[in-house]
Amino acid sequence: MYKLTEEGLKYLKKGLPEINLVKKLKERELKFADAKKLENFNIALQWAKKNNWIKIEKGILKLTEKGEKATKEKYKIEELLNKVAKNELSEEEVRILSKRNLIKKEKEIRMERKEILNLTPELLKTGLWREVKFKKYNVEVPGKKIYPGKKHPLNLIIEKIREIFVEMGFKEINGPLIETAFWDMDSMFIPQDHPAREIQDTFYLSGKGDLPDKDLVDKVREIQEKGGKTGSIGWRIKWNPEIARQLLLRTHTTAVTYRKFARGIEIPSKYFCIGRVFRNEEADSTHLPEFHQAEGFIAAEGLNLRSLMGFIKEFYSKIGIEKIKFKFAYNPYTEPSLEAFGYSEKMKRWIELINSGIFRPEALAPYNIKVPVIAWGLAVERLAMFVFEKKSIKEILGHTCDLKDLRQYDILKVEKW
Amino acid sequence: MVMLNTSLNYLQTLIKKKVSVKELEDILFNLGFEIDSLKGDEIAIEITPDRPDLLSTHGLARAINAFLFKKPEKYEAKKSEIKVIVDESVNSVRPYTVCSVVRNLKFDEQNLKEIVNFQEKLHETFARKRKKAAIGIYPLEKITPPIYYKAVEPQKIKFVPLDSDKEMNGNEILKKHEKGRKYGELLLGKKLYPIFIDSKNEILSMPPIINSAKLGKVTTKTKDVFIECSGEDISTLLKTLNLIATTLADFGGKIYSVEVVYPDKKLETPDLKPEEVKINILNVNKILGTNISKEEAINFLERMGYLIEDGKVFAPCYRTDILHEIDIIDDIGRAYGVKNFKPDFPLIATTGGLLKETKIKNRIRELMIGLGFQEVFTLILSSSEEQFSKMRYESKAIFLQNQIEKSINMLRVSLLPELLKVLKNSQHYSFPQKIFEIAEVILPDEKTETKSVDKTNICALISNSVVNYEEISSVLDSLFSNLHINYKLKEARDKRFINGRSAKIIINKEERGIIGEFCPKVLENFNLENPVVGFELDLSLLLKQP
Repeated sequence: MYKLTEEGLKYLKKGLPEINLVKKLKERELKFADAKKLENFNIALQWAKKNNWIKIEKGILKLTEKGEKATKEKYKIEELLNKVAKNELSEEEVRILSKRNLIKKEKEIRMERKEILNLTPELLKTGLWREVKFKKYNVEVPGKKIYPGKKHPLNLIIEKIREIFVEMGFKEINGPLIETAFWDMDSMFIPQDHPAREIQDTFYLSGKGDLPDKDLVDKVREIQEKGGKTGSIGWRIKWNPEIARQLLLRTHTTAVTYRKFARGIEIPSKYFCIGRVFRNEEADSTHLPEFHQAEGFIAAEGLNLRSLMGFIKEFYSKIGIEKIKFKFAYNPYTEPSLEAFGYSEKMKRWIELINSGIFRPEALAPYNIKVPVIAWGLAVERLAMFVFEKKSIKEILGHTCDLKDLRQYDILKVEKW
Repeated sequence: MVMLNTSLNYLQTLIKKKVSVKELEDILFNLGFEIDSLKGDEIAIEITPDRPDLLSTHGLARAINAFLFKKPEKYEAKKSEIKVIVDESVNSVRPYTVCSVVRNLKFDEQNLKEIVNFQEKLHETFARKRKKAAIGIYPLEKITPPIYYKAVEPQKIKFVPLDSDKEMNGNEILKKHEKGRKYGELLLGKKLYPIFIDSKNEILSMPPIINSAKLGKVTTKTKDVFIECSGEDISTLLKTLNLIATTLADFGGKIYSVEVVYPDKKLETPDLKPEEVKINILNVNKILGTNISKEEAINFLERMGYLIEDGKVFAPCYRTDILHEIDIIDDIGRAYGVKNFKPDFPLIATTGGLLKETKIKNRIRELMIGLGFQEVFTLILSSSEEQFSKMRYESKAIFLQNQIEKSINMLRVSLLPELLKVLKNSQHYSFPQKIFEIAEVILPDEKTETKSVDKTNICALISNSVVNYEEISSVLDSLFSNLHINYKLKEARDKRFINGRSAKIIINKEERGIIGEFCPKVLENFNLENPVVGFELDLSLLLKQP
């Protein structure tokens, strides 16, 4: 069973566009521009021309002889449209009407009249979208939750710190996670009986590592024991190479700085390192036995305590802290040493993030560095805890920072802070 | 951090002018110290380890008074005519002692408690748990000089130790007495134990463990004390002795020296002579970035407790931290006032840059995020239970020797279990769950300087109520095709995964990783209730490309 489409139905009632056009032209000729305003003109023009009913002369539409005749005779398509309801169409007649999209199988028509959910490639290709009604959505309901891939918030902080260092002209360096005590401590004038070396502070591993070349080891020994030629009295305890060979998990990124010192540095130069460090302690809300440090150093002629303060001030300002204060501190390999506090306008309190200093002469002499070297280090997780307003370091680092935290955190937090 | 725990009121009475808590806080901050806590009258002040002289209330008050009024205290010792005779038998166990006497003391509950606390703080910090120095203080009136320092067989040492009412021998003290158990290892393996003993054969103490209850207990009735420090290095002992003697002098006592007679030499101790230090004003200004005159610098040093005589500068005898001119410059900086330094930002032209490795890792992270994976950040410290037993996996690994945290004992060799732990903690959140991490694993390697090698791996997991091998293998394929790396998968027999659902990842004929659907046993071990597929791949070769 075939039925008229909406178009077919319209033509049955109002006549086919091409017939309507020749009837108009029989009354009077029309300028092309005026004819264009007629309903369904394009369709009318297409078929009237195909039937050789009209001609266009100097922009004027005129009837041909055939056209004259058509106004008087019955139009075949019109007759066929009348036959549709009676279901008397031959196969050839179905083909003619289908081609002009005037009839459709009944089933198809019913389907089209239904409200539909999805626009499909078929609807677009066949033009049938014109015939359908789209079901309405409740467009005011917020979307269903989906979870994109996102960077880890700690990595956003690390990227921010990297960005700041690079902006300030620092080159990145890195080094091994397992170190000999030599690179972690002896190389930088930490005495062999320093409390930080004790097993409750440092993770030791079995076996011994290798010491660097004898020349450097001798220089370090000399300085540790008697101060070498630096004018220092040294630590005055016998330096034991076996202690220096002990393998440990690096306790600070300064080990990376010292490997760089030993490889050689240009003057002036600026280097930085962000890496994992380890302390043998029990985990609590602010401590984990592993965490990240960021550390930068500058070696240049003329650096002093005020320039150290200047660099730290600039660094703080780049993480959004303008108000800072310093306090003298103690560190076995830097003197003077400073702790730098920043005032967080948001938290309305001073926070301590940076430790810094000028390397001691005893800590530079073995590497033949003759200019002042200033350095500062930053507690990365501590900054992350402030930025992401977390009370526990476990919400920042480790498997305890679960998908709930990761899916929910504000990706602009670092920029807003 | 080392704390000075004391009474606020007591500290305030020792400072020669009335200072409020706020003023005290400011003075301390300038000197480089902070009030850690203040509850009622109980104050805890954080002292940096370079300044053991500030671990007594009097020591801190001494520094504050000098800072406020200059004119620092100068300490001197008169001869006491008391002798300590050192026997060569101590050579093999604890070879040195230096001694002093302080007379005319007026002890009360407060300063008695203070000297005991100070002694203990010094033992724990500067004296490295009595290894470098052990301090003994005795009521002099109970002792009959000369005093002998010698080493004898432990079973022949018999006395009633402090905090006990029973006579014990040397061995019993190490086993039964609280201090013996705490410090006994310092005498471990020694045939002879050291003792101080007087002319009436009364034992004063068995250093570095415990004093005798009879001769070694100072009370509020004690007027004169005998002090000894024993250890392995004379210069450390002399400093320790000065720390104690000067504090007792601050209590109002008079210091007297003792003649310590060694088989080969005689020492008159303590040595309270301040040491002359030279300052080069050019170096001062170069380091501090200041423009101060030599006179100003000397003035600042006087405020830091240095003694000035005829324009010469002397470091006080109780300072243990001055190794180099730089330490004196640091003191000048503190007195100059940290707030008076103007930060200066010199332009030093250098070019910055990231490691190539960092850049490559960032690109791969971006790709994984683009594939819809959430980045996670797990720990390197792990346990053999999680890395091996629960995973049904084994490999060479590096184990910790001395961990305090009980949940760890090794360095991770694989990221897979660490990421499974994240999924375990995330079971209540919606699925699918797709996570990844690019991070280090550590493996033993005898050929390297540190007997280990850090490898950078990438690991990705997908968990969902229904998930299959193809889902993860297409992620791996996407990773490789975006890196333009040719790879092959070769069926693996790996107990971590379901048989027939895992493959080795092969690049250039070398095995570089593993991919598969986790065996239900592994999921059970990690308490996971949904299937998981995943891969782990070594990126080291890629990152180390020239």
